[in-house]
Amino acid sequence: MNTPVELDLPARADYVRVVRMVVAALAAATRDLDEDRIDDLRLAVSEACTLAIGAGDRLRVVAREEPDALVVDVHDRPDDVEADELAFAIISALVDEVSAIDGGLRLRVTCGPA
Amino acid sequence: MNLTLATTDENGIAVIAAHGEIDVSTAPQLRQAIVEVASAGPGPLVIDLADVDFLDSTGLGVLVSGLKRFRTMGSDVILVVAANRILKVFEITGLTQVFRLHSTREAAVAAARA
Repeated sequence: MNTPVELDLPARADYVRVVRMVVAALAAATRDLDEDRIDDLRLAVSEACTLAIGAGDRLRVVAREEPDALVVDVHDRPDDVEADELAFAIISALVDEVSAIDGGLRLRVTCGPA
Repeated sequence: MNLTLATTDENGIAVIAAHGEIDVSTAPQLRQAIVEVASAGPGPLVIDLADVDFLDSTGLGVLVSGLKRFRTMGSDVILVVAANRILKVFEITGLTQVFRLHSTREAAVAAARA
């Protein structure tokens, strides 16, 4: 996955599962992450996707590798991400860094290559 | 199969056993099952999540609204949580302080009967 992996799907609830499965599989295949941290990433990405499908017509996810991290961008995001307290609490607890980017949320998990 | 639900009666205690994944796509099924039990009587209700391998904030939201519904009737919802990855979602969100959690169905049903 040295070039970014991009997913672009209709913003449907049943596609959230597809995205979290793909991202978890990519993470397991390409990065040095134990099973617990892959579970954490799976849930965090899923929460971000759930927020995204409420915010736009498409669900767009870009996963890319950095030397010391896996970065997943999820579009769109609601204007007030923290309004959904449970979702935001879960995302914040499970990834090393969460930040708002233009129209989306960026999740960053620190890890080395597999 | 993303989520299957089976509602049974264990010596007068209603038990909803969930198997699969609870997310934005499948949580409405769980909500419906809880509403059906609530409309049949004041409970208490045991929800067995031992065979659930994914639970997100949408699922938690359905569980919390179910809990409110039963507590309003002077009753309770008691959960069976076995896997660490599911327990972790309750811990992150502080909901271990809100729900009565047991690690086996037997213990949960006994607590419901007490």
